[in-house]
Amino acid sequence: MTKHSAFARALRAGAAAVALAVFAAAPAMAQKVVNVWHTEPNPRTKAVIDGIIADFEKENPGVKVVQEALAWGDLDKKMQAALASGAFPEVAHGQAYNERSLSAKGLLRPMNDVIASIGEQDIFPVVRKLNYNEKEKTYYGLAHAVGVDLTIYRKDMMREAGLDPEKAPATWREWIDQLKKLTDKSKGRYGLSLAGPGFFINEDIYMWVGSNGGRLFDEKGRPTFTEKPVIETLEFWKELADCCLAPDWLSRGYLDTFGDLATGKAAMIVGWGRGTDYFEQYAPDAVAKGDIGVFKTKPVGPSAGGKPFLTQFDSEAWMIFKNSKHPEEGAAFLKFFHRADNYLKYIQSVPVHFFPVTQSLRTDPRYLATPAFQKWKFWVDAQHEVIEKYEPKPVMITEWKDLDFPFIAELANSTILVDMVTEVTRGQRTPVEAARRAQQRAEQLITQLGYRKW
Amino acid sequence: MSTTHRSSPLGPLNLPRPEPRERRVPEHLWGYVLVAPAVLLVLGLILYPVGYSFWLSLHSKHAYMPIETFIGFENFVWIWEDEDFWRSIRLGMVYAFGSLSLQIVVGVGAALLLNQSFVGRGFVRALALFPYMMPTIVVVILMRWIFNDSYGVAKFLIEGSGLMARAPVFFDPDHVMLTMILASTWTFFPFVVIGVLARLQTIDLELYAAAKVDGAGVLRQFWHVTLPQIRGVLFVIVLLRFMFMFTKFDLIWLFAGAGGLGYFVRTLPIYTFVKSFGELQVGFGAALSVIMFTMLSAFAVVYFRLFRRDEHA
Amino acid sequence: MNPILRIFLERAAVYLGAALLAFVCGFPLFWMALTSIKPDREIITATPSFWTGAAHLDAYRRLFDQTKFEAYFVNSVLVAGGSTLLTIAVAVLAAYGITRFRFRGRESIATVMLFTYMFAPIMIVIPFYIMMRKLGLANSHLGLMLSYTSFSLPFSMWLLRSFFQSIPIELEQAAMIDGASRPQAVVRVVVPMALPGVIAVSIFTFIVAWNDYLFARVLIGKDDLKTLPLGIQDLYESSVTDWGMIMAAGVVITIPALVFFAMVQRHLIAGWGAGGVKG
Repeated sequence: MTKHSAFARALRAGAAAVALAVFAAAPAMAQKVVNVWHTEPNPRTKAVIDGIIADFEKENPGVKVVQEALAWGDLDKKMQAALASGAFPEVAHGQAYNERSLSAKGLLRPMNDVIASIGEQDIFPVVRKLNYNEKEKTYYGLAHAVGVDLTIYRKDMMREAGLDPEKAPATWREWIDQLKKLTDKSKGRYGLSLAGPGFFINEDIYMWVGSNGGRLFDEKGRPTFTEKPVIETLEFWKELADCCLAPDWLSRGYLDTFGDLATGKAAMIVGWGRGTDYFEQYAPDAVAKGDIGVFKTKPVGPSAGGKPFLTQFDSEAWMIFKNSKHPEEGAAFLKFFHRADNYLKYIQSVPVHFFPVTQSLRTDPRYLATPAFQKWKFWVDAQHEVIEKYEPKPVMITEWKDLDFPFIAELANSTILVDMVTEVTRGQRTPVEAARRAQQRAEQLITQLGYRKW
Repeated sequence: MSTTHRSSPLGPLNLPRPEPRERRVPEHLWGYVLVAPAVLLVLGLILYPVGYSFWLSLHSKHAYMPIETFIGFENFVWIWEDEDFWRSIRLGMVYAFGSLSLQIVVGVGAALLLNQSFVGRGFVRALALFPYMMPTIVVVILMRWIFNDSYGVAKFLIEGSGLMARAPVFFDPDHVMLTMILASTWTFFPFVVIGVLARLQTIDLELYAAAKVDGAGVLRQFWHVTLPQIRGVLFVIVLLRFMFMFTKFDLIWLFAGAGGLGYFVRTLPIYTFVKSFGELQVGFGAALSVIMFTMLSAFAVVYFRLFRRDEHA
Repeated sequence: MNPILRIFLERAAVYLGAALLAFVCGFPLFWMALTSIKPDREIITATPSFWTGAAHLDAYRRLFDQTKFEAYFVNSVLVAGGSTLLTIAVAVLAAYGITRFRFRGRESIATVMLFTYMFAPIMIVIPFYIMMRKLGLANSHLGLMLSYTSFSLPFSMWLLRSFFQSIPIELEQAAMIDGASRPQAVVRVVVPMALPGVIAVSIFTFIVAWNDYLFARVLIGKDDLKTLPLGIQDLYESSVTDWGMIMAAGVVITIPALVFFAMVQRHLIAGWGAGGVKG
C-alpha cells in the first residue's frame, strides 16, 4: 500500500479511537464519583459496605461511591501515587499518625459536621481524645472502629505447665518466668509468638516502652531512644528472643502467630479480636473447651514506677481529603455510614475486633445480640474494660502530645525502630549501641524532612 | 544478498503504479516508519519517568507535597555517607550474583538434560517451564507455605527422610537470603532453559560426531562443542537476568517485607522503596535509582567490552 | 569402560535427572492442588499428610462465591492478551524495519532499547502513574497494557531482530519476482517462518503481563478491573487467611497457563532457537 493511504487509514483509526474513548467516558462524567479507600479487604466487610453504598446511592441519586479495599502495605503505594498526581480519594483510612501528618500539611477537610451528626458526646471519651486536634480545635478524622490489643493465651497449655490460667502476669519478670515454663524447645513449643513485620515491631516497642514508664519523644519532638526505659525494653526483648521466641519469629506474619496459638506451637500471643474467626476455623476443639483466653491487663516493666500498662488502640481513622473532587459528598457518605443501622452492620462484619466508637451502639441490644458474642463475650468485655480504665493509645504514641508531631508516619515506616530491635535481638549490637544509632538516624530523618525543632 | 546497482534491496517490482510519474519512496523512510511505533512507545512511556527521576534526584521533596527544594548533589552526599546504603549494595550483589549463577547453572543443566531424548520428555519439559508461569505472589505464598517451620512440608520431608536431623529454619535471619535465592532460581531458571534449549536444538550434530572421533568424552564435548555454540545466547541471558535480579523488587518485598526479616535482605530496590514510600523522601529515592541506573550501565558497558563477539549488532 | 555399561549409566543419569527436575518443579504444584482440596483441619497440622481421604471442592466454591475471582481472571486474560497482541504488532514491524532497510542508527536501536531495563520499575511507577493520569488512562486496562508492552518491547525486538536476520531476504525477493507485492510476500513467506519467534515473544509478554503486581496495584483501583495477582494478594491479606482458598486460587491461575504452555512449548523452543542462531 502506498504511504498516503496507509497514513490516511492510520489517521482515521486514531480519530475513531479518540471518539470512542470520549464517548465511553461521557456517562461517567455526569455522575459524581466518591472514592472510598479502606483497609478491610475481607469479603464480609466488603459485602457489607457494598450494601451500605447501594442504600446511600438510592438516597443520593447522581452520586456513585466506589470502595477500594487495600492491605496496609499497599496503601502506602497507592496513597503516594494518588497524592503525587493530585488524584486524591475522597475518603480514606489512615493510622492516627497518617491523619496527623496529612492534616499538618493542610490536606484534610475538617470533620466536625460528621462528628456532630453522630453526636459528639456519644463517642467514647478516649476516642474523642484520639481524634480531636487540640491545636486547631477541630476533628480531622474519626476512628472507624476501635479495638484493643490484648495478650491471648491457651489455658490448657498454662495448666500443663503448672501455671494458674487466670493469673495475668503483673511485671515483665513474672511474664518471662511464665513464658520460660511454657517453652519446650525440644518439642518445638514456645511461650510466646510475636509478629515479625516492621509494623508489628513498631507496635510492640511503643507499647512496651510505654508500659515501662518511658516515652519516645521529648516535648520538642526530639527522639528519646537512648533513655533508660527504652534500653530496658530492648534488653527485655533480647531476653525474650533468647528464651521464649521461635528462631524464625521475624518471619512470622501477624496471622501466623494466630496459627501458632491454634496449633499449640505457642502458648501466648498479642493481638486483637480478629483472631476469633481463625480460631474457630483452625482450632475448633480448643474453642469448644474454652481454652482460649485473654488477659485484661498487661505486665509492666521495671521502670514503670506505678504507672499502668500501655496497650494499643487499633483505631484507623476515616479522613476526608480537601482537594479531592467531591469532598462534600464524601462527608455525606460518612454521615450515612454512621447511622446506627449501617454502622451496626459494619461492626458486625468483624464482630469481636471491631468495637463501636459510640457508647449508644455498645449498649444497643442488637449489638449485644451479635452471634459471635455467645462464645467470645469475655473478649469484648475485656476490651471494653481496657478502653474505660486504661487509656490505650494508637501506634507510636506513648504520650498524647506525640500526636501533634508531623513526622510520626515517616518515622514509623522508615524501619529505624525496627532495625534497632532486629539488631539487638540478633546480637549484632548491644542495646545501647543500637539505640544510639537509631537515635542518630531518626534525628537525621526529622532534620531532612524539615521538622527539627530542637 | 543479490546486488544491483539500485540502492534498494527490493529488486524489480511489478506493482502497477497509480501515478505516471516514477516515484521511489526512499528506503530509510520506510525503516523509520516501521520502527517508529516501538521507539515512540518505549521512549515515550519510559523517557518521562526516567527524566523526572534524574531531575528529582537533585531536589528534596516530600511525597505528599507538590513542593520541591533544589539541593544540588546533597542527596548523593547523604547516600555516600549512608551506612545502610552500602549495606544494601552488598546485599543486592549477593542476591543478584547468587541467583544469577544458580539460574544459569541449573538452567543450562536442565536444558542439556531436556535436549536428550527419553520417554516422557514432553511432559517433563512442560513441567520444567511451569515455575516461570506463576505470578510472583503465588510463588511467594507457596514457598512460605512449603518452607514454613511449623507446618511446612519441606521440613517434614527433610527430617522424615533422614536427610538431616533438624531441617534448617528457612525463614530465620540466617537462612532467609539463601531461601530467597533458591526460590528465585526455582521461578526464573526456565527463562534460561528456553533460550539455551532452543539453541541446543540447532547445533549441528556433525560437530559432536567429529569430537567423538577425536576421542572426546562427555565433558570435553560440552566444553569444546556445546559451550562455544551457546555462548551467544548465554551472553544475552546473563545480561538480562543480572539486570532483572539486581532491580528485583516484588519477590523480595513479598517474601520479607521492609522491616524485621527484611533487614537481612534489604537490597537496593527495597531500600529505595523504604526511602520513597516509607520515609516519603522521594528526592532521596530518585537519587538512589539514578545510582542504580548508573551502576547497571557501567556493568553493561564493561560486560559488552569483555564478552561481546564480533558480529553485527 | 564397557560401552553397554556406559550407555546404561548415561541413560540412568538422564532418567534420574529428569525425575529430579520433574519433582522439584512439579511437587509444589501438586502440594498446592492437594492443599486446595483438603479439609481445613488437615491443612494446619504439625505433620502434613500427603493424601487426604476427605477431598472436597469447598475451597473452590468459597473462592468463586466470596470473591470476584472470575472477574479477576477475565481481566488478567484481557490485559495479558491485549498487551501480547500490541507487542507482537509493534515488535514485528520494528524488527522487520531494522533488518530489511538501511538507515542511520538501525544497528544500535535494539541494543539501546535494552538499556531501559536498567531502570528499576519501583522508581518508574509513580511518574508513570502521573503520566497515565494526564492521558486519562489511570484505572484502565489500556493504561496497563501500554505499560506491559513498553516493558516487553525491548526484549521482544532484540529477539525478533536476530530472528529476522536469519530469514534470508532471498525468500521475499523470490516471492516478489513471482508477482507478489511486498506486503503479500511478507505475509506469505516471512510470517510463517517467523511464527515460532512470534510465539516466543508472545509468551514472554504474556508472562510479564500475567505476573505483574506493582504496576497493576498502582494503576488499578476499581475492584472490577483488578487482575489476578492483586486478587490473590488481597485474599492473602484478608483478615482470616484461608489457606485452602488461597491454594485453590493458585491452582486456578496456574493450570490453564500450564496447559497452554504444554501445547505450545514445541514452537516456543524452536522459535528461540532459530532466533538465537546468530546469538
